[in-house]
Amino acid sequence: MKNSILYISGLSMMMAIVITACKMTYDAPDVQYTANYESADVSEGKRLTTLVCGVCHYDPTTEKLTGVHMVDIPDILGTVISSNITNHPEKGIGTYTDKELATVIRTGIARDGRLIPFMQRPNMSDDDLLNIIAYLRSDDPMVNGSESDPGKTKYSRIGKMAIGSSKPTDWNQGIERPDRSDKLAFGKYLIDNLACYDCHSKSFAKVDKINIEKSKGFMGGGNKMLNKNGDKVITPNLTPHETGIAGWTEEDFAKAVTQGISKNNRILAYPMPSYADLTEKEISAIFAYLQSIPPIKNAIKGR
Amino acid sequence: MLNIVDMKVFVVFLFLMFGFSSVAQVTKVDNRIVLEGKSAFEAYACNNCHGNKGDNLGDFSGLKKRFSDEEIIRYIKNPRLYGNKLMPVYDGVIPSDKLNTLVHYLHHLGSEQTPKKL
Repeated sequence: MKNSILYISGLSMMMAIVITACKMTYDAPDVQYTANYESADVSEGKRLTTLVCGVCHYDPTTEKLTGVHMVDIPDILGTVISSNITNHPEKGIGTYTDKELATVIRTGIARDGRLIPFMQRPNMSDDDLLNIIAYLRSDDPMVNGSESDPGKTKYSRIGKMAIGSSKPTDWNQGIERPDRSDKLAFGKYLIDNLACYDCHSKSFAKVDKINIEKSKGFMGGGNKMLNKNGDKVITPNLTPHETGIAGWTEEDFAKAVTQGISKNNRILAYPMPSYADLTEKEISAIFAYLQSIPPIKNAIKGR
Repeated sequence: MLNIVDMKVFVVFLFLMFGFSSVAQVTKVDNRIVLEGKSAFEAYACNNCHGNKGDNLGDFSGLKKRFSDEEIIRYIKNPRLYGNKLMPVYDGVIPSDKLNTLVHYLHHLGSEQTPKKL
């Protein structure tokens, strides 16, 4: 009898842990948000959307943000497809409210309650968030409503466990972008919102979305991804260690980031995006910040 | 002495021999260029985005009809001039002889593709 009780309580605890670990949906936070379009800068919104959202949602065949199969995410996690975020009322986000858009970007919780950890930008400034939302509402060809349907994400059991281990990020408001002249703070802000740390730290499962510097192996590379052929790609170390980017000049870094050509003419192709729209000031700030973080010894083969 | 019929047979024989050997020679050279192009396609990571068969991204079918080789090379060297912000800027990275074999390989890949309906 005692053994049965122990067995049943053990089983219940395990089930509770599994159910908690696989929690995939959440209630949206009860917050007020309305975009003040009059103060929005739509052209800046386009640049930011291209840099932040385009990496996952841009489909070169439609030349719009109609979503694509994210083949860089290993199959073991399932099939991950980024959504159509053009302003089409059925296939896109045309009927999303401002609050729903702001919520999915800040917390990762979509309108239907799904948690999309790839989306989370909890530290994005109010201004940048507003500019992005204003651009997504515009009639620019890249976001003008398209019926294109990229399909639906289907996580494997392991994928569900991985998503289940992620949590929504807190809703914050009143966030200001660091002054652009404060290179280190601005560089960190960019690394955060461009999600460089997501791929260039040790593992997607061990990143800290709120305090990015607490991510395991922060910017030290070693995360395993795939290219379009399904070949393994290990992300490089971007810390100022000799196994990272020690010895690089700002020009080397700028060329790598904007032109896809690394030091010694190595080609930076998919899954590394080309950030052609970054300004010189932004690149300079990112580089300065990377020079300031703790060096990590992590030699990546072929880098 | 060869009679006129033998002469004709001999001329036809020579023509066929020369013709076949030329065709074989051209095919051999063509295959070599395709192999070199394939090697460049992989070495410069084109296959990372376009896929090993060039069918992942872009449309190489009918490339020859749409663009001259010079235009394709200009594009590869600096895709930003054509509004492409995704592709690496290969100017000064790929030597000109490799660019030529690469273009040849793109035509080869295109010949094996059917046009994409966008």
